[in-house]
Amino acid sequence: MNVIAGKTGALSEELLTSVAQYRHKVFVEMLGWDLKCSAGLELDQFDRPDTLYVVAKDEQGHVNGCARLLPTSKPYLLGEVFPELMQGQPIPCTPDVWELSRFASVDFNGGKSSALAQFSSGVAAQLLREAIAIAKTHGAKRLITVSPIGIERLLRHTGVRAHRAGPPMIINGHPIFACWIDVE
Amino acid sequence: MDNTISCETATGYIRLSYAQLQDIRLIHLISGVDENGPAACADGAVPTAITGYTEWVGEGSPVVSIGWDWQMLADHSQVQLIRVGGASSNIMLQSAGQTDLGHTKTAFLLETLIDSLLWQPATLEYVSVRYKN
Repeated sequence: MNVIAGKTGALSEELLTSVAQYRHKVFVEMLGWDLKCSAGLELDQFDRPDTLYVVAKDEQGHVNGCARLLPTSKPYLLGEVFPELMQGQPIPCTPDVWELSRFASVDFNGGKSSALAQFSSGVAAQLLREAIAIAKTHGAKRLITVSPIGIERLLRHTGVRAHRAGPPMIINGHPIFACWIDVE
Repeated sequence: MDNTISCETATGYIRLSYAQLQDIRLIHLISGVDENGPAACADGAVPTAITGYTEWVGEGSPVVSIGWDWQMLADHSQVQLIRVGGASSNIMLQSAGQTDLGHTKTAFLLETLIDSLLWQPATLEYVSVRYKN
């Protein structure tokens, strides 16, 4: 697995397009998320010039994992779209807390999948570690993420320390929650 | 000394003693079946068990959240659920002196609590209704 990381301006147009197409395959086509898309590309208002991407590719150069990182000192998914997941607690708004979102590791080119549809067991752990390490280099001391509850299994298997910011809420029939992830 | 249950805004942890946690009534929130097979399959292994998750919340405020995974065991006469793995929560348990017990001890005590509860009927009933069709 090869990992590429960088902000929007540092990545090629080809790679950014590949990631958007990959996200469309995972989140829209496979998981059925109701997202606004066009031309088979999944992008939203949090894909900005300052967005930090972590992209995994297999040996043939196909994208088989992605993650998005945003500082909570600027608009981010949890703060703008799912603040209720904090159950009344203050929304993080500090440069040392980053949000991890659009995390997926489905290998469409023959890899095994795990119990969580968006995570292939082989890639997920490594991608997660890489994302945490990259966030740390950008000043993150903790991550926060909006996730299905199944991500906690992945975090345990990976040895990453994490805990819930509050009880899960049922969104589109699935329990979703805000999760704190320790970086240090 | 009667410790107050507190929620630390910086970390989101709800801090309380084990005794206080035992006094909180847990309410079933949702349960489900792993639709793509068990999470921890080794390479080449064929999943043969039905596994899933169950989520519970505490009455009152701040809201305690505890979830865990389960596996279904069945024989000719009955179906039962057993807890698999550790618990996930927003809890940091404290000693009587309000010192954090830490992640390991908290995890152990949460598992102890779960295993003392009669959670299986509510989970089984919910799953039976949810996946009836």
